[in-house]
Amino acid sequence: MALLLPFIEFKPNRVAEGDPFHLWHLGLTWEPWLLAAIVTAALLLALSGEGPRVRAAKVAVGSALFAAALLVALRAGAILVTEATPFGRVGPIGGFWISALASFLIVEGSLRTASWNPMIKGAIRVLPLAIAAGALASGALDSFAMVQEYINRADRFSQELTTHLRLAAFAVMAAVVIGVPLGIVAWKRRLLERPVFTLVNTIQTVPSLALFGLMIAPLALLSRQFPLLRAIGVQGIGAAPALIALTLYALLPIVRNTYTSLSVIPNAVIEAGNGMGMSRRQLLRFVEAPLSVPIILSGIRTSVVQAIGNTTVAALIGAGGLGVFVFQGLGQAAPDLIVMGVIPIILLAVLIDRGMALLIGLVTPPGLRKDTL
Amino acid sequence: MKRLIVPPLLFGLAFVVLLNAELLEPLLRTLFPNVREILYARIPLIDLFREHVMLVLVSSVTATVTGVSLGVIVTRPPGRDFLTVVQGLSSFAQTFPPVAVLALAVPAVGFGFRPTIIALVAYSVLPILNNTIAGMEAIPRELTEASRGIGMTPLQVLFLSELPLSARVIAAGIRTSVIINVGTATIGAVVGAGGLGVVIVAGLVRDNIAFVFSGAAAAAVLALAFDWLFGRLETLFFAPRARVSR
Repeated sequence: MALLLPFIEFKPNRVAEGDPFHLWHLGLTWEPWLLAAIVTAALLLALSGEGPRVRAAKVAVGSALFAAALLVALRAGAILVTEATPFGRVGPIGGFWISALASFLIVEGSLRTASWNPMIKGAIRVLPLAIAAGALASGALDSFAMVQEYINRADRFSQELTTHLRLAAFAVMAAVVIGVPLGIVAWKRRLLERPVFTLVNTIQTVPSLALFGLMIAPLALLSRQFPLLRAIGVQGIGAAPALIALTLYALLPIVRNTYTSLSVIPNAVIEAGNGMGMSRRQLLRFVEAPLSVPIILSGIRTSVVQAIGNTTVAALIGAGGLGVFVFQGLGQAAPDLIVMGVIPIILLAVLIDRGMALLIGLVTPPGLRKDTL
Repeated sequence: MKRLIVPPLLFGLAFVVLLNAELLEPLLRTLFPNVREILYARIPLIDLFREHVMLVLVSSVTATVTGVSLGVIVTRPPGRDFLTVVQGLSSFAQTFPPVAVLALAVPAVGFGFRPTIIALVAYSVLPILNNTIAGMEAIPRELTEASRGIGMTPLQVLFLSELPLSARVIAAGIRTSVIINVGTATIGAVVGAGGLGVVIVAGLVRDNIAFVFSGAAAAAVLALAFDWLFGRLETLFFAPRARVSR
């Protein structure tokens, strides 16, 4: 499939329809053969059973597949976009994406069952990103459509990226400050358990765009009533309603996991601590915290990943962030711009998810460790 | 009993007020006295509501059928080889934001109702698939072996023993994906899918709070109603008392 489907498309300018090219019609010499050889090797490996050696070979071939696909795309870009077509741009299509997906499946499938050091696994997973980032930095990808969209707005991009990260981070921090005590209260006071959970569950059920929308009217009203609020930037649209809605949204996983983290500490463990003569503070530091912090952190992990996604939607109410490019792209029917906005968002979500998983693994007491990656 | 009557009455009342122009207009006038154009005139809210429900139903039903079948296939002996890969891919893909999947549908398929359905299905199949696999894997081996032992065929084991035993977990996955679909379908307005998001986006573009409010309120009530309905169905089918009455 990777070899048969059109691999890359060429567009004479931004809005024109793409012209699909097959791997073999690109005018390349040895590169398609390299890709074909790797695909054959992958097929042979798939048929050759199990074992640590086969697994290592699969990881190597899988990684090579991505690198080769990228190489072909690069070389094709250099051939298709010449000085005669200054506005020309290429974009990877079917064949390239299938190669990338196959590479991911092969590598991930072998890594999941491998009992290697998590650091090595992590490095292998980051490798394709590093290769792509290297290619990007070297300028070799400049003829790619989404890279051109980026080059045209590099300043705006870093600005929106900062806004995006700042919005998501502030919202999650606020949600931690509110949510952890809320979870503790729900656990300590039985009467409040139901109302607290009904509230945070209800908030999470409301569609994100609707929640943003519902924030606008009351905030616009407040801002009109109190000039002081307006002076500090609280308005119906913009960052203020976005932050409030994002914070509310991030509450559920944090409250739920704080509650769970308290409920899973067995009474016997606390009593054992008491029996050893631990003070209240020692009990918290050496018994309760090590048991509950990893669970609360995994709640935060869910919240951050969600917040990255919801912040995208916040661009619709004028809060900025990477969603700006996505919705601009949708508005102008410019697919390259959409992809240029979406890929960093997905990368952010995935990287933060992996980073949090590593962190959770580090703070989990060795006796309780499972493979969270 | 109270919990069976009050919520549907409230949801019903909310829908009647929000979807009926004659009732909605006075409400919006009192809430937003300064807004001149108070009602979204291009398409009646009730039509957008119907579109929204269609988006959610079509995508959720498709996702359920696909997710459960895929989950069943990878937990059968012939499909087991793919279990870890499918599980890995599906939990990996779940970290993608739903908006991102929706936006990517446009370069891949184009604008409109159909690409949105594809994006909604692609994303909402994941919780169902994950939960189907989790539910199947949680069944003790002795139970399925006992089912085989009393002479059930593999198909009977699947339909009479495994699926009923994991139904609760699968239902939770379906509930999650329906709620995600109501939310993502709201954003579907920006890719031309219609639905209640149309009024919200129109309001945002024209700086009209009344539009934004009416669409957002209707979408919120719709999501809460779906969630309530699934909650009721869950207690109805999987209530503790049903499990005791063996």
